[in-house]
Amino acid sequence: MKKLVLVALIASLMTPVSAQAAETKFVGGPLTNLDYQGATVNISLSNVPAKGGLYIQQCVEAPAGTRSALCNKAVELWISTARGASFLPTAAIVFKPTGSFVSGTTTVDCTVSKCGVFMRFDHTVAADLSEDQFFPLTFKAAVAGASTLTADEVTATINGVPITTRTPATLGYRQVVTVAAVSKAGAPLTYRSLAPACALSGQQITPLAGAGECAISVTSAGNATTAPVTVILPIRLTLGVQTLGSFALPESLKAYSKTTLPTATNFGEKVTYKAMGACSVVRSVLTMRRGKCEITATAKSRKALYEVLSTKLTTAAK
Amino acid sequence: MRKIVALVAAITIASIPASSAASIKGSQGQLLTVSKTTVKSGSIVTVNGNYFDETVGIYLAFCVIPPKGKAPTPCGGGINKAGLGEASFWISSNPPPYAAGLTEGFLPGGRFTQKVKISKKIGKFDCTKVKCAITVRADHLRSNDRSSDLFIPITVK
Repeated sequence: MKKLVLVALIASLMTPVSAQAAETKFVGGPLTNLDYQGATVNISLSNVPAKGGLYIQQCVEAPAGTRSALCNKAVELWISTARGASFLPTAAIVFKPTGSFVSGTTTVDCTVSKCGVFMRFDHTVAADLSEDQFFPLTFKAAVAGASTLTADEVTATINGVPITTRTPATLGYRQVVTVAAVSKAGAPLTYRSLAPACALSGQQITPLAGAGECAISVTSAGNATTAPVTVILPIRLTLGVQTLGSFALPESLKAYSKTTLPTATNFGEKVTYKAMGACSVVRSVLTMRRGKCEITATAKSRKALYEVLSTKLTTAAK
Repeated sequence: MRKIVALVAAITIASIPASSAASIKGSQGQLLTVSKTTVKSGSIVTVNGNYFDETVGIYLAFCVIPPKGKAPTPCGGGINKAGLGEASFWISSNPPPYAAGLTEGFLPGGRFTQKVKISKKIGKFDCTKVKCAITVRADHLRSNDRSSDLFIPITVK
Protein backbone atom coordinates (compact mmCIF):
# COMPACT_ATOMS: atom_id res chain seq x y z
CA MET A 1 0.00 0.00 0.00
CA LYS A 2 2.86 2.32 0.96
CA LYS A 3 4.50 1.59 -2.40
CA LEU A 4 1.30 2.43 -4.24
CA VAL A 5 0.96 5.77 -2.46
CA LEU A 6 4.61 6.57 -3.22
CA VAL A 7 4.20 5.76 -6.92
CA ALA A 8 1.06 7.89 -7.09
CA LEU A 9 2.88 10.74 -5.34
CA ILE A 10 5.85 10.55 -7.73
CA ALA A 11 3.50 10.41 -10.72
CA SER A 12 1.64 13.47 -9.49
CA LEU A 13 4.89 15.37 -8.98
CA MET A 14 6.06 14.40 -12.45
CA THR A 15 2.84 15.49 -14.13
CA PRO A 16 2.64 19.22 -14.77
CA VAL A 17 -0.59 21.09 -15.40
CA SER A 18 -1.57 20.48 -18.99
CA ALA A 19 -3.70 22.40 -21.46
CA GLN A 20 -7.39 21.83 -20.80
CA ALA A 21 -8.33 21.01 -24.39
CA ALA A 22 -5.49 18.60 -25.13
CA GLU A 23 -6.32 14.89 -25.12
CA THR A 24 -2.79 13.56 -24.79
CA LYS A 25 -1.78 12.83 -21.23
CA PHE A 26 1.89 13.58 -20.60
CA VAL A 27 3.87 12.02 -17.77
CA GLY A 28 7.52 12.95 -17.73
CA GLY A 29 10.45 13.73 -15.52
CA PRO A 30 12.66 15.04 -14.23
CA LEU A 31 11.64 18.53 -15.37
CA THR A 32 13.55 20.66 -12.88
CA ASN A 33 17.20 21.26 -12.02
CA LEU A 34 18.37 19.46 -15.16
CA ASP A 35 22.03 19.20 -16.08
CA TYR A 36 23.04 21.96 -18.49
CA GLN A 37 24.46 19.31 -20.80
CA GLY A 38 23.53 15.62 -21.00
CA ALA A 39 20.09 15.88 -19.39
CA THR A 40 17.49 13.18 -20.03
CA VAL A 41 13.73 13.47 -19.57
CA ASN A 42 11.77 10.21 -19.64
CA ILE A 43 8.30 10.61 -21.10
CA SER A 44 5.30 8.37 -21.47
CA LEU A 45 2.17 9.37 -23.32
CA SER A 46 -1.38 8.10 -23.22
CA ASN A 47 -4.68 9.05 -24.89
CA VAL A 48 -2.77 10.15 -28.01
CA PRO A 49 -5.37 11.13 -30.65
CA ALA A 50 -5.41 9.00 -33.79
CA LYS A 51 -5.81 11.94 -36.17
CA GLY A 52 -2.08 12.74 -36.28
CA GLY A 53 1.35 12.28 -34.80
CA LEU A 54 3.03 14.60 -32.31
CA TYR A 55 6.22 16.60 -32.09
CA ILE A 56 8.01 16.90 -28.79
CA GLN A 57 10.23 19.96 -28.83
CA GLN A 58 12.32 22.12 -26.53
CA CYS A 59 11.13 25.72 -26.94
CA VAL A 60 11.02 29.08 -25.25
CA GLU A 61 7.51 29.61 -23.89
CA ALA A 62 5.35 31.44 -26.41
CA PRO A 63 2.38 33.71 -25.68
CA ALA A 64 -0.84 31.79 -25.14
CA GLY A 65 -2.40 30.56 -28.38
CA THR A 66 0.81 30.94 -30.36
CA ARG A 67 3.73 28.66 -31.15
CA SER A 68 7.25 29.60 -30.21
CA ALA A 69 9.66 30.75 -32.90
CA LEU A 70 12.57 29.71 -30.69
CA CYS A 71 12.95 25.92 -30.55
CA ASN A 72 15.85 23.49 -30.30
CA LYS A 73 15.72 21.62 -33.63
CA ALA A 74 18.56 19.33 -32.57
CA VAL A 75 16.51 17.54 -29.90
CA GLU A 76 13.09 17.48 -31.60
CA LEU A 77 11.27 14.13 -31.55
CA TRP A 78 8.55 12.90 -33.88
CA ILE A 79 6.07 10.64 -32.13
CA SER A 80 4.05 8.66 -34.63
CA THR A 81 3.21 5.25 -35.97
CA ALA A 82 4.47 6.43 -39.37
CA ARG A 83 7.76 5.17 -40.80
CA GLY A 84 10.74 7.33 -39.77
CA ALA A 85 9.24 8.52 -36.49
CA SER A 86 11.54 8.84 -33.47
CA PHE A 87 9.23 6.88 -31.14
CA LEU A 88 5.88 5.13 -31.21
CA PRO A 89 3.25 6.90 -29.08
CA THR A 90 3.22 3.89 -26.75
CA ALA A 91 7.01 3.74 -26.33
CA ALA A 92 9.12 4.89 -23.39
CA ILE A 93 10.27 8.18 -24.88
CA VAL A 94 13.72 9.56 -24.14
CA PHE A 95 14.04 13.33 -24.60
CA LYS A 96 17.36 15.15 -24.29
CA PRO A 97 16.96 18.92 -23.81
CA THR A 98 20.00 21.15 -23.41
CA GLY A 99 20.71 24.15 -21.23
CA SER A 100 21.30 26.36 -24.24
CA PHE A 101 20.60 26.12 -27.94
CA VAL A 102 20.71 28.13 -31.12
CA SER A 103 17.50 28.88 -33.03
CA GLY A 104 18.20 30.67 -36.30
CA THR A 105 20.56 33.45 -35.29
CA THR A 106 19.33 33.52 -31.69
CA THR A 107 21.20 31.82 -28.87
CA VAL A 108 18.86 30.83 -26.07
CA ASP A 109 20.12 30.22 -22.54
CA CYS A 110 17.47 28.23 -20.65
CA THR A 111 18.89 29.29 -17.27
CA VAL A 112 17.83 32.81 -18.26
CA SER A 113 14.82 32.29 -20.56
CA LYS A 114 11.75 30.20 -19.73
CA CYS A 115 12.22 27.00 -21.74
CA GLY A 116 10.14 23.87 -21.67
CA VAL A 117 8.91 20.74 -23.39
CA PHE A 118 6.47 21.79 -26.10
CA MET A 119 4.19 19.10 -27.46
CA ARG A 120 2.03 19.65 -30.54
CA PHE A 121 0.41 17.84 -33.45
CA ASP A 122 2.87 16.99 -36.24
CA HIS A 123 2.94 18.21 -39.87
CA THR A 124 0.01 16.00 -40.84
CA VAL A 125 -2.32 18.24 -38.78
CA ALA A 126 -0.11 21.32 -38.67
CA ALA A 127 -2.84 23.92 -38.19
CA ASP A 128 -4.51 22.10 -35.28
CA LEU A 129 -3.37 23.68 -32.00
CA SER A 130 -5.59 21.54 -29.78
CA GLU A 131 -2.73 19.30 -28.63
CA ASP A 132 -0.34 22.21 -27.89
CA GLN A 133 1.00 21.77 -24.38
CA PHE A 134 3.95 23.37 -22.60
CA PHE A 135 5.77 21.89 -19.60
CA PRO A 136 8.42 24.18 -18.07
CA LEU A 137 11.98 22.94 -17.65
CA THR A 138 14.66 24.38 -15.40
CA PHE A 139 18.41 23.79 -15.67
CA LYS A 140 21.41 23.98 -13.38
CA ALA A 141 24.01 26.59 -14.32
CA ALA A 142 26.59 25.50 -16.88
CA VAL A 143 29.52 23.63 -15.38
CA ALA A 144 32.72 25.67 -15.50
CA GLY A 145 34.97 24.35 -18.21
CA ALA A 146 32.08 22.94 -20.20
CA SER A 147 32.24 26.04 -22.30
CA THR A 148 35.24 28.23 -22.94
CA LEU A 149 33.09 31.34 -22.40
CA THR A 150 30.47 32.12 -19.80
CA ALA A 151 27.26 33.65 -21.05
CA ASP A 152 26.78 37.39 -20.88
CA GLU A 153 24.30 38.75 -18.34
CA VAL A 154 21.57 41.04 -19.58
CA THR A 155 19.34 43.12 -17.29
CA ALA A 156 16.37 45.05 -18.60
CA THR A 157 13.88 47.73 -17.63
CA ILE A 158 10.59 48.97 -19.05
CA ASN A 159 10.18 52.71 -18.54
CA GLY A 160 12.96 52.48 -15.96
CA VAL A 161 11.32 49.70 -13.92
CA PRO A 162 13.38 46.48 -13.72
CA ILE A 163 11.72 43.44 -15.30
CA THR A 164 12.59 39.77 -15.16
CA THR A 165 12.46 36.91 -17.59
CA ARG A 166 10.23 34.93 -15.21
CA THR A 167 7.55 37.46 -14.26
CA PRO A 168 5.57 39.17 -17.02
CA ALA A 169 5.38 42.94 -17.13
CA THR A 170 1.83 44.27 -17.55
CA LEU A 171 0.99 46.78 -20.27
CA GLY A 172 -2.32 48.20 -21.46
CA TYR A 173 -3.46 48.42 -25.07
CA ARG A 174 -1.54 51.24 -26.82
CA GLN A 175 0.45 52.02 -23.66
CA VAL A 176 3.68 53.01 -25.36
CA VAL A 177 6.77 52.21 -23.28
CA THR A 178 10.52 51.99 -23.75
CA VAL A 179 12.52 48.85 -23.08
CA ALA A 180 16.17 49.31 -22.17
CA ALA A 181 18.70 46.59 -21.45
CA VAL A 182 22.29 46.52 -20.28
CA SER A 183 24.91 43.91 -21.12
CA LYS A 184 27.22 43.21 -18.20
CA ALA A 185 30.02 42.62 -20.69
CA GLY A 186 29.26 45.81 -22.59
CA ALA A 187 28.34 43.77 -25.68
CA PRO A 188 26.00 45.17 -28.34
CA LEU A 189 22.32 44.34 -27.87
CA THR A 190 19.53 43.77 -30.37
CA TYR A 191 15.81 43.84 -29.61
CA ARG A 192 13.04 41.84 -31.30
CA SER A 193 9.31 41.39 -30.78
CA LEU A 194 8.36 37.71 -30.69
CA ALA A 195 4.59 38.21 -31.10
CA PRO A 196 2.51 40.46 -33.37
CA ALA A 197 0.53 41.80 -30.40
CA CYS A 198 3.49 44.02 -29.52
CA ALA A 199 4.99 46.32 -32.13
CA LEU A 200 8.62 47.23 -31.55
CA SER A 201 10.15 50.30 -33.13
CA GLY A 202 13.73 50.64 -31.98
CA GLN A 203 13.24 50.15 -28.26
CA GLN A 204 9.70 51.50 -28.15
CA ILE A 205 6.98 48.92 -27.48
CA THR A 206 3.38 49.55 -28.58
CA PRO A 207 0.87 46.92 -27.45
CA LEU A 208 -1.65 46.29 -30.24
CA ALA A 209 -4.00 44.13 -28.19
CA GLY A 210 -5.66 44.43 -24.80
CA ALA A 211 -5.56 40.76 -23.85
CA GLY A 212 -3.11 37.87 -24.06
CA GLU A 213 0.64 38.07 -24.00
CA CYS A 214 3.60 39.10 -26.08
CA ALA A 215 7.36 38.95 -25.54
CA ILE A 216 10.44 40.93 -26.42
CA SER A 217 13.80 39.22 -26.88
CA VAL A 218 17.05 40.99 -26.12
CA THR A 219 20.15 39.40 -27.59
CA SER A 220 23.68 40.13 -26.50
CA ALA A 221 26.14 39.43 -29.29
CA GLY A 222 28.77 38.53 -26.71
CA ASN A 223 32.40 39.49 -27.06
CA ALA A 224 35.88 38.07 -26.59
CA THR A 225 35.20 37.24 -22.96
CA THR A 226 31.52 36.32 -22.88
CA ALA A 227 29.23 34.11 -24.94
CA PRO A 228 26.12 35.44 -26.72
CA VAL A 229 22.84 35.15 -24.86
CA THR A 230 19.17 35.94 -25.49
CA VAL A 231 16.77 36.86 -22.74
CA ILE A 232 13.01 36.75 -23.31
CA LEU A 233 10.94 39.41 -21.56
CA PRO A 234 7.31 38.30 -21.22
CA ILE A 235 4.55 40.94 -21.30
CA ARG A 236 0.95 40.45 -20.21
CA LEU A 237 -1.53 42.65 -22.07
CA THR A 238 -4.54 44.29 -20.43
CA LEU A 239 -7.38 46.54 -21.60
CA GLY A 240 -6.42 50.08 -22.58
CA VAL A 241 -7.73 53.16 -20.81
CA GLN A 242 -9.99 55.38 -22.90
CA THR A 243 -9.61 59.11 -22.35
CA LEU A 244 -10.61 62.37 -23.98
CA GLY A 245 -6.99 62.74 -25.06
CA SER A 246 -5.33 65.98 -24.07
CA PHE A 247 -8.66 67.81 -23.64
CA ALA A 248 -9.19 69.53 -20.26
CA LEU A 249 -12.32 71.49 -19.46
CA PRO A 250 -11.43 74.83 -17.75
CA GLU A 251 -12.68 75.20 -14.15
CA SER A 252 -14.54 78.35 -15.13
CA LEU A 253 -16.04 79.58 -18.36
CA LYS A 254 -17.85 82.73 -19.41
CA ALA A 255 -21.60 82.60 -19.18
CA TYR A 256 -23.26 81.93 -22.55
CA SER A 257 -19.89 80.92 -24.07
CA LYS A 258 -19.57 77.87 -26.31
CA THR A 259 -16.84 75.24 -25.99
CA THR A 260 -16.24 72.41 -28.44
CA LEU A 261 -15.79 69.06 -26.69
CA PRO A 262 -13.93 66.08 -28.23
CA THR A 263 -16.13 63.99 -30.50
CA ALA A 264 -13.95 60.87 -30.15
CA THR A 265 -11.76 59.22 -27.50
CA ASN A 266 -8.04 58.58 -27.79
CA PHE A 267 -8.98 55.25 -29.46
CA GLY A 268 -11.42 56.84 -31.93
CA GLU A 269 -14.62 55.76 -30.17
CA LYS A 270 -17.56 58.19 -30.42
CA VAL A 271 -18.16 60.18 -27.21
CA THR A 272 -21.67 60.85 -25.91
CA TYR A 273 -22.28 63.71 -23.45
CA LYS A 274 -24.98 64.23 -20.86
CA ALA A 275 -25.15 67.68 -19.23
CA MET A 276 -26.59 68.55 -15.83
CA GLY A 277 -26.91 71.98 -14.22
CA ALA A 278 -26.30 75.32 -15.88
CA CYS A 279 -25.25 74.01 -19.26
CA SER A 280 -26.26 72.01 -22.29
CA VAL A 281 -24.34 69.93 -24.84
CA VAL A 282 -25.59 69.65 -28.39
CA ARG A 283 -23.46 67.87 -31.01
CA SER A 284 -20.41 68.03 -28.71
CA VAL A 285 -20.72 71.81 -28.25
CA LEU A 286 -21.07 72.92 -24.64
CA THR A 287 -23.14 76.06 -23.99
CA MET A 288 -22.86 77.56 -20.52
CA ARG A 289 -25.39 79.48 -18.47
CA ARG A 290 -24.66 81.05 -15.08
CA GLY A 291 -23.97 78.42 -12.40
CA LYS A 292 -22.35 75.01 -12.00
CA CYS A 293 -22.25 72.48 -14.80
CA GLU A 294 -21.56 68.74 -14.68
CA ILE A 295 -21.08 66.72 -17.84
CA THR A 296 -20.81 62.93 -18.10
CA ALA A 297 -18.79 61.70 -21.06
CA THR A 298 -19.24 58.09 -22.10
CA ALA A 299 -17.90 55.89 -24.90
CA LYS A 300 -18.26 52.20 -25.69
CA SER A 301 -15.67 49.59 -24.76
CA ARG A 302 -14.12 47.22 -27.28
CA LYS A 303 -13.62 43.58 -26.40
CA ALA A 304 -9.98 42.65 -25.81
CA LEU A 305 -8.85 46.21 -26.60
CA TYR A 306 -10.08 48.91 -24.25
CA GLU A 307 -12.41 49.67 -21.37
CA VAL A 308 -15.55 51.79 -21.45
CA LEU A 309 -15.11 55.54 -20.96
CA SER A 310 -17.22 57.07 -18.21
CA THR A 311 -15.87 60.31 -16.85
CA LYS A 312 -17.31 63.43 -15.25
CA LEU A 313 -16.28 66.94 -16.23
CA THR A 314 -17.21 69.94 -14.11
CA THR A 315 -17.05 73.66 -14.69
CA ALA A 316 -18.90 76.82 -13.69
CA ALA A 317 -19.80 80.22 -15.09
CA LYS A 318 -20.52 83.49 -13.28
CA MET B 1 -44.27 77.95 -59.70
CA ARG B 2 -40.85 77.69 -61.42
CA LYS B 3 -39.21 78.89 -58.20
CA ILE B 4 -40.96 76.17 -56.21
CA VAL B 5 -39.91 73.46 -58.72
CA ALA B 6 -36.29 74.68 -58.64
CA LEU B 7 -36.32 74.72 -54.83
CA VAL B 8 -37.69 71.17 -54.62
CA ALA B 9 -35.06 69.95 -57.12
CA ALA B 10 -32.24 71.58 -55.16
CA ILE B 11 -33.40 69.99 -51.91
CA THR B 12 -33.68 66.57 -53.61
CA ILE B 13 -30.13 66.73 -55.06
CA ALA B 14 -28.66 67.89 -51.75
CA SER B 15 -30.25 64.97 -49.93
CA ILE B 16 -28.83 62.33 -52.34
CA PRO B 17 -25.72 60.76 -50.84
CA ALA B 18 -22.55 61.70 -52.75
CA SER B 19 -22.51 59.01 -55.47
CA SER B 20 -23.67 56.53 -52.80
CA ALA B 21 -21.05 55.85 -50.18
CA ALA B 22 -20.90 52.24 -49.07
CA SER B 23 -19.74 50.22 -46.08
CA ILE B 24 -19.05 46.58 -45.40
CA LYS B 25 -18.53 44.82 -42.09
CA GLY B 26 -16.00 41.99 -41.83
CA SER B 27 -16.31 38.76 -39.89
CA GLN B 28 -14.23 40.14 -37.02
CA GLY B 29 -16.28 43.34 -36.76
CA GLN B 30 -13.95 45.45 -38.89
CA LEU B 31 -15.68 48.18 -40.89
CA LEU B 32 -14.63 49.39 -44.35
CA THR B 33 -16.24 52.49 -45.88
CA VAL B 34 -15.79 54.03 -49.33
CA SER B 35 -16.89 57.61 -50.07
CA LYS B 36 -18.24 56.82 -53.59
CA THR B 37 -19.04 53.65 -55.46
CA THR B 38 -19.68 55.11 -58.92
CA VAL B 39 -16.77 57.16 -60.22
CA LYS B 40 -14.96 58.29 -63.34
CA SER B 41 -11.60 56.72 -64.19
CA GLY B 42 -8.84 58.71 -62.53
CA SER B 43 -11.04 59.77 -59.61
CA ILE B 44 -9.94 59.53 -56.01
CA VAL B 45 -12.15 57.87 -53.39
CA THR B 46 -11.69 58.15 -49.64
CA VAL B 47 -11.50 54.82 -47.85
CA ASN B 48 -11.95 54.58 -44.09
CA GLY B 49 -11.30 51.56 -41.91
CA ASN B 50 -12.30 51.03 -38.31
CA TYR B 51 -12.03 48.21 -35.76
CA PHE B 52 -9.39 46.34 -37.80
CA ASP B 53 -7.15 43.83 -36.00
CA GLU B 54 -3.95 45.83 -35.55
CA THR B 55 -1.86 42.69 -35.20
CA VAL B 56 -2.55 41.78 -38.85
CA GLY B 57 -1.04 43.95 -41.60
CA ILE B 58 -3.26 44.59 -44.63
CA TYR B 59 -3.10 45.74 -48.23
CA LEU B 60 -5.71 48.26 -49.34
CA ALA B 61 -6.04 48.47 -53.13
CA PHE B 62 -8.35 48.72 -56.12
CA CYS B 63 -8.50 45.20 -57.51
CA VAL B 64 -10.34 42.92 -59.90
CA ILE B 65 -12.79 40.87 -57.81
CA PRO B 66 -11.46 37.28 -57.80
CA PRO B 67 -13.49 34.06 -57.75
CA LYS B 68 -14.81 33.33 -54.25
CA GLY B 69 -12.08 32.07 -51.91
CA LYS B 70 -9.22 33.20 -54.16
CA ALA B 71 -6.72 35.94 -53.40
CA PRO B 72 -7.62 39.32 -54.93
CA THR B 73 -5.50 39.89 -58.00
CA PRO B 74 -4.56 41.78 -60.06
CA CYS B 75 -4.66 45.07 -58.22
CA GLY B 76 -3.87 48.62 -59.25
CA GLY B 77 -0.26 49.13 -58.29
CA GLY B 78 0.19 45.39 -57.65
CA ILE B 79 1.03 44.15 -54.15
CA ASN B 80 2.72 47.21 -52.82
CA LYS B 81 5.65 45.91 -50.80
CA ALA B 82 7.28 49.25 -51.56
CA GLY B 83 4.80 50.89 -49.23
CA LEU B 84 2.37 53.68 -50.04
CA GLY B 85 1.12 54.62 -53.50
CA GLU B 86 -1.96 56.09 -55.13
CA ALA B 87 -3.55 52.76 -55.98
CA SER B 88 -2.42 50.47 -53.18
CA PHE B 89 -1.37 50.87 -49.59
CA TRP B 90 0.37 48.64 -47.05
CA ILE B 91 -1.05 49.31 -43.61
CA SER B 92 0.74 47.62 -40.73
CA SER B 93 1.52 48.59 -37.15
CA ASN B 94 4.11 45.85 -36.83
CA PRO B 95 5.95 45.53 -40.16
CA PRO B 96 9.04 43.40 -40.64
CA PRO B 97 12.32 45.27 -40.11
CA TYR B 98 12.92 45.70 -43.87
CA ALA B 99 9.61 47.52 -44.23
CA ALA B 100 10.15 50.10 -41.50
CA GLY B 101 9.15 53.44 -42.96
CA LEU B 102 7.36 51.84 -45.92
CA THR B 103 4.10 51.15 -44.16
CA GLU B 104 1.57 53.29 -42.44
CA GLY B 105 0.42 52.07 -39.04
CA PHE B 106 -3.15 51.72 -37.89
CA LEU B 107 -4.49 54.52 -35.75
CA PRO B 108 -5.60 53.41 -32.26
CA GLY B 109 -8.80 51.41 -32.47
CA GLY B 110 -7.74 49.79 -35.74
CA ARG B 111 -8.53 52.85 -37.86
CA PHE B 112 -7.10 54.20 -41.12
CA THR B 113 -8.02 56.70 -43.83
CA GLN B 114 -6.56 56.61 -47.35
CA LYS B 115 -7.34 58.18 -50.70
CA VAL B 116 -7.30 55.55 -53.44
CA LYS B 117 -7.08 56.34 -57.15
CA ILE B 118 -9.59 54.47 -59.33
CA SER B 119 -8.46 53.56 -62.82
CA LYS B 120 -10.49 52.07 -65.63
CA LYS B 121 -7.77 49.52 -66.38
CA ILE B 122 -5.95 47.19 -64.01
CA GLY B 123 -3.31 45.58 -66.17
CA LYS B 124 -5.15 44.05 -69.10
CA PHE B 125 -8.49 44.07 -67.27
CA ASP B 126 -11.10 46.73 -68.04
CA CYS B 127 -13.14 47.62 -64.96
CA THR B 128 -16.05 48.76 -67.14
CA LYS B 129 -16.32 45.13 -68.29
CA VAL B 130 -15.19 43.10 -65.26
CA LYS B 131 -16.08 43.63 -61.62
CA CYS B 132 -13.54 45.65 -59.65
CA ALA B 133 -13.58 46.68 -56.01
CA ILE B 134 -11.88 48.54 -53.24
CA THR B 135 -10.22 45.60 -51.56
CA VAL B 136 -8.62 44.78 -48.24
CA ARG B 137 -6.57 41.62 -47.74
CA ALA B 138 -4.00 40.39 -45.22
CA ASP B 139 -0.50 41.39 -46.28
CA HIS B 140 2.06 39.02 -47.84
CA LEU B 141 3.13 37.83 -44.38
CA ARG B 142 -0.25 36.02 -44.27
CA SER B 143 -0.84 35.70 -47.99
CA ASN B 144 -3.02 32.60 -47.66
CA ASP B 145 -5.25 34.16 -45.00
CA ARG B 146 -8.55 34.85 -46.74
CA SER B 147 -10.39 35.75 -43.51
CA SER B 148 -9.35 39.40 -43.83
CA ASP B 149 -10.61 39.85 -47.41
CA LEU B 150 -13.20 42.60 -47.91
CA PHE B 151 -14.60 43.97 -51.17
CA ILE B 152 -16.68 47.05 -51.97
CA PRO B 153 -17.54 46.95 -55.71
CA ILE B 154 -16.86 50.15 -57.65
CA THR B 155 -18.57 51.10 -60.92
CA VAL B 156 -16.18 52.90 -63.24
CA LYS B 157 -17.83 55.23 -65.74
